[in-house]
Amino acid sequence: MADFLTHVLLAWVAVELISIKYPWAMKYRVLVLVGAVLPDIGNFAVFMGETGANELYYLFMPLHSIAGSMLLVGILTMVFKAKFRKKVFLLLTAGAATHLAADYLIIFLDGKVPLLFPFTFEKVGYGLFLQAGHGFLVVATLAVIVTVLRRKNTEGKIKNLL
Amino acid sequence: MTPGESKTRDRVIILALVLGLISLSAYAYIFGPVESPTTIEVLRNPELHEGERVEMRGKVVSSQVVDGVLYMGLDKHGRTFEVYYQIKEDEESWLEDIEEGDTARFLGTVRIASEGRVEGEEMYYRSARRQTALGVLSFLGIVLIAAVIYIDRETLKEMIVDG
Repeated sequence: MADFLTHVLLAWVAVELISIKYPWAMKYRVLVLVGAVLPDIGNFAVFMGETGANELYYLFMPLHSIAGSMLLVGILTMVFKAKFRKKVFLLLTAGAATHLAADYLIIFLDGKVPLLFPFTFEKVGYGLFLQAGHGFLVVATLAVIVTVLRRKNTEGKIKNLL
Repeated sequence: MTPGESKTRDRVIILALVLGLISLSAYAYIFGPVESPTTIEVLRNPELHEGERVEMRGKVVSSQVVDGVLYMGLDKHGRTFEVYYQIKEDEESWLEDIEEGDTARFLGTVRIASEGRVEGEEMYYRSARRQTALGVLSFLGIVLIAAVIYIDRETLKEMIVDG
């Protein structure tokens, strides 16, 4: 996995991009950010030590697949009022998608991502960035800066027109 | 649909989703391939068999690269395994940085069981030094989310189901 900060920054980029077409998305940006860390919530098992983390491995492993993430997103969506659920579901899904896409690019200690589980246990990945390296974080930070500047620039132009 | 009916429907959906998630975990537990937990069992059991394929993960206690081959001592539960691994062309830049205390994982084949000598075929490692930085960055990520939740708390409050 990439670190949480990289995942959150990539999710922020996703929010900025989504809000180009759907401006309401910026109001609910937190959902994309939360969605981006959902597949990794099993990592908190490290607080139980190595043995505890290993024993809980299978409990959390499915969350790192599309199917597992979607089920978790579904459960979280139900916490929200019915009229918001469609938006919540889409934004949490977008966040989780950025997470899985980012991990697809990581060279992992634990191999790769079991993306298509339960249909196959095969782990897939492209392996572009080192798990412990900071290359991905730099790319994510630059992407956030570019997208935020683009939004600010656009907002400035609109204000000038008014 | 009355509010009562809608609440019941929501509960049924949540239950179904939770059961789905539990089923996935159970399926992974029952049918999952050799993974970290099983690997640890293999390593606790000193009975290695020559020609057997193993997956190992442990702390690096020694590391040396000679002519493109990485020779590594890997400690797991007090036992040291000797791993040798032919570094692939695209891995040269990062595998040569392995230091003592790093965590390494590899898939390989047992060559001399009595000496715990294993030929690695695929390998990953996590730098102990960078792992600390990774922890700090992850903490910052959580802080960032917490800050956004705090800033957007009113929006969230109006969205979340009462009770």
